[in-house]
Amino acid sequence: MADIGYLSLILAFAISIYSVIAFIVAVKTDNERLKASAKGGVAAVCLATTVASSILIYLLMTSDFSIEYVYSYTSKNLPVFYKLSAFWAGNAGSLLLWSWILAIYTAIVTFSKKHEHDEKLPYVSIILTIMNIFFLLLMVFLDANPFGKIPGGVVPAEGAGLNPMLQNPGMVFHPVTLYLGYVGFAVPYAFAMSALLLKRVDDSWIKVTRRWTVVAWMFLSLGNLYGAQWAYVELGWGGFWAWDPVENASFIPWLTGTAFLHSVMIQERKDMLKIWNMTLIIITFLTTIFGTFLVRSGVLQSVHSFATNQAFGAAFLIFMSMAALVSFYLVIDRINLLKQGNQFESYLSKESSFLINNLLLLGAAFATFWGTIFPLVSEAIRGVKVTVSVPFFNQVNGPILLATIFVMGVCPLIAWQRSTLKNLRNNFLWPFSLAIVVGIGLYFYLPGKSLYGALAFGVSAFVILTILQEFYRGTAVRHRMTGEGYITALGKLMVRSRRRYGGYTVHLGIVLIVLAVIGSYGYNTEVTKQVSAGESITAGNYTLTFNGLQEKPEGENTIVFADMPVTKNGKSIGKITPEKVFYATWDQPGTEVAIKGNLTEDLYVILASWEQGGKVATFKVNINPLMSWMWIGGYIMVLGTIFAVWPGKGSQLGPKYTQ
Amino acid sequence: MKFKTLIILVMLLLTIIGAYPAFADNYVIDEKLFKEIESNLMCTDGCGMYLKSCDNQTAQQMRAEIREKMGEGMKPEQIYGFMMSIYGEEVMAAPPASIPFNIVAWVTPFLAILGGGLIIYVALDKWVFIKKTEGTEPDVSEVDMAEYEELVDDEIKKYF
Repeated sequence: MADIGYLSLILAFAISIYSVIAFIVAVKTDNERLKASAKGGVAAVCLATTVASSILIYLLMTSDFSIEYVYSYTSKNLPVFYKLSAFWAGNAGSLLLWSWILAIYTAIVTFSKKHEHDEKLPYVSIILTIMNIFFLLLMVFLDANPFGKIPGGVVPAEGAGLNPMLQNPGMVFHPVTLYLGYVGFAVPYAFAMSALLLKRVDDSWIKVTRRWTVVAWMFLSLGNLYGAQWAYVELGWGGFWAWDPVENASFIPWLTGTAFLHSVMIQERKDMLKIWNMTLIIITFLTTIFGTFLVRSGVLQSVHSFATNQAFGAAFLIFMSMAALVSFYLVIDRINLLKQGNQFESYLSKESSFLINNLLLLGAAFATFWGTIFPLVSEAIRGVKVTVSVPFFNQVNGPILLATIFVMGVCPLIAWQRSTLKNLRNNFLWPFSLAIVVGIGLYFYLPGKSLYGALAFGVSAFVILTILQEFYRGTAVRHRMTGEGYITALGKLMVRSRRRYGGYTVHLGIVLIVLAVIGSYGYNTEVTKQVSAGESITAGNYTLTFNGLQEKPEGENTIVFADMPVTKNGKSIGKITPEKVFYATWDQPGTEVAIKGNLTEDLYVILASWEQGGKVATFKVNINPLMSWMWIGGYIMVLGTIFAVWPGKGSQLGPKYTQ
Repeated sequence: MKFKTLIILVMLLLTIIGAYPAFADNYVIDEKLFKEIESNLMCTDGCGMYLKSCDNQTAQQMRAEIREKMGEGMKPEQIYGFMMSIYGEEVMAAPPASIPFNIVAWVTPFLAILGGGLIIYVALDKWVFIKKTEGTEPDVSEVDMAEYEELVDDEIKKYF
């Protein structure tokens, strides 16, 4: 079975090469039959990678430990759900997942009826297939074969098991959504490069790929969110984002992708920023590869890295460099064609505010990138290793991202072409005044008298108020003109202008996430205390009583836990049970965090260590304000994105300004 | 008598100094300051984790070291210096700005944004076509306009 899987990968590799050559010859000779054959090649690659992936899933499910990958990441007692997630738990499997998604995306684009007569299509297929050749090459020739047999030929009776930290629903969804996002950005990139190759640099490539871009962005957002959720509930350190190099690597394309999503609107509306949009999609694509490179190259220390060899790092570096060289060469070579059409009407317009938004998003992306690579820079120049972690990113990115949030509130309310002071006053007077009141009020009401915290809450309040004002005004206008009820008017208003109101909903989701970030970073309470049986821990309004540790078996694992009654302001609110799990197939015990949450805050308890047979134990108790809003905001953001890209009435773009 | 008093005082002083380590054990640690120091350091066993987030043996040992040094009356900067003398600059969670080269790490992102801002300003200056503004102020907001346009579209579809 495994041999068929490996053969499928070799076939996919060979057919990909054929497909690229056939497309090139077909385009040069205008040979439709050859073009059809090349398209058939794309379908065959999709089929071959699907077969390879299905076989790997089968091998994982049947615990075939004669396969090294299956042995390394599963065990017989592993639940089916996690056997499936073992697919992407290791380097080889994750590369297969990447290749599989890319092959599916390539087939969807190649056989889409919408693109049937698009002259860019063969070029797009060529570019996407070349990318897949690289990933298939790694699996077939560079020691990343997921179907490799176990060395020595003796089949072990039991597998090494999946790292317990990966046995969490977040880790099932996080890699898949992240890859759907990473690979998704390859499609607009391929269309952009095709436009350059063909010297057709109007905005058709942007229109064609808008949904791809937005959906890729949505998956990347979801991927980051699932990653944060996993870190929060599974890693047991009290936070959700540690600015680890690999986390940064997924945040950078999210920032540049967000900038791209906004700046293409200026090209759609004004026929401007063509060079900038090309550059942005190139950077976004390259940073997705940079993320994959970081995880596998071993150049930077990260808790998320795969153990691989140096050849992998070199291969990714070469691929990235080649892609960058070719892409930027094309931009420079076609620079005359990318000259823009219109001019800006005013300094004060939506267009101008989008430029500020791009500057800040790119600034945050650069700061993140710079902080990530600075240890390498320092080592190369001074010969001294330094660490760049949480304090740096919080201090540098904090103000940049806060300014970005503020601009997020301003941008949508400024008119296209030209805004006026009257327009600004009408749109911003109330939200701005109320936001100042909220900021000042919270400064005095909340503990710690944090100026930065109050400012951040004030900015978030401003954005929420501007969004709500937009919904209210639109609904009121519609109600006035049509006589419809407010609910009907709101519904119809949103459906008729999906892009606008979908966008506002996404912004609302983001502000809710920001509220959770401010609350949990700026206003959290943390108490670490060693207690004996019968003693209590007080953290904020909560009191937890320790009654000793208990032990229970769970399958082959042993769980040590503390049942702790909890009171809040003297009233019982039930109990909380932090655990340590000792695994039969893993040396290190796992920490199972106990969380009791509501919309206001999370009580987050970690069993850190114990002595004297469990009579004395150390607990870390965190109270993380507003954390639930991070997950609620995330799902609102996803809903808004789906609403914005949903096809049909109201999904069209507004008029192009030709002045 | 005076000499005797002096000797007693000196002996008392020496006793206090000699007993200092024992005294230090009972020193009340400023937990807020401890957390601040902890949040500026990394765990050094190669796990790559921020000390505040790490719970392994090395992290516990480092916390004990911090408490000990705080107990000895060391200031945060002295504790960072002590940690760096043992573990190297890597132990700091952010590049210490006391080393001139590291300032590059802190200022470059802001310089880049300033540079970008300058480019945008120059570009805007070039692009903006300043019209005579008399009478161009829109009376209808964009939201109202969008709604009017849609209603007109519907009417056109209905009757033409």
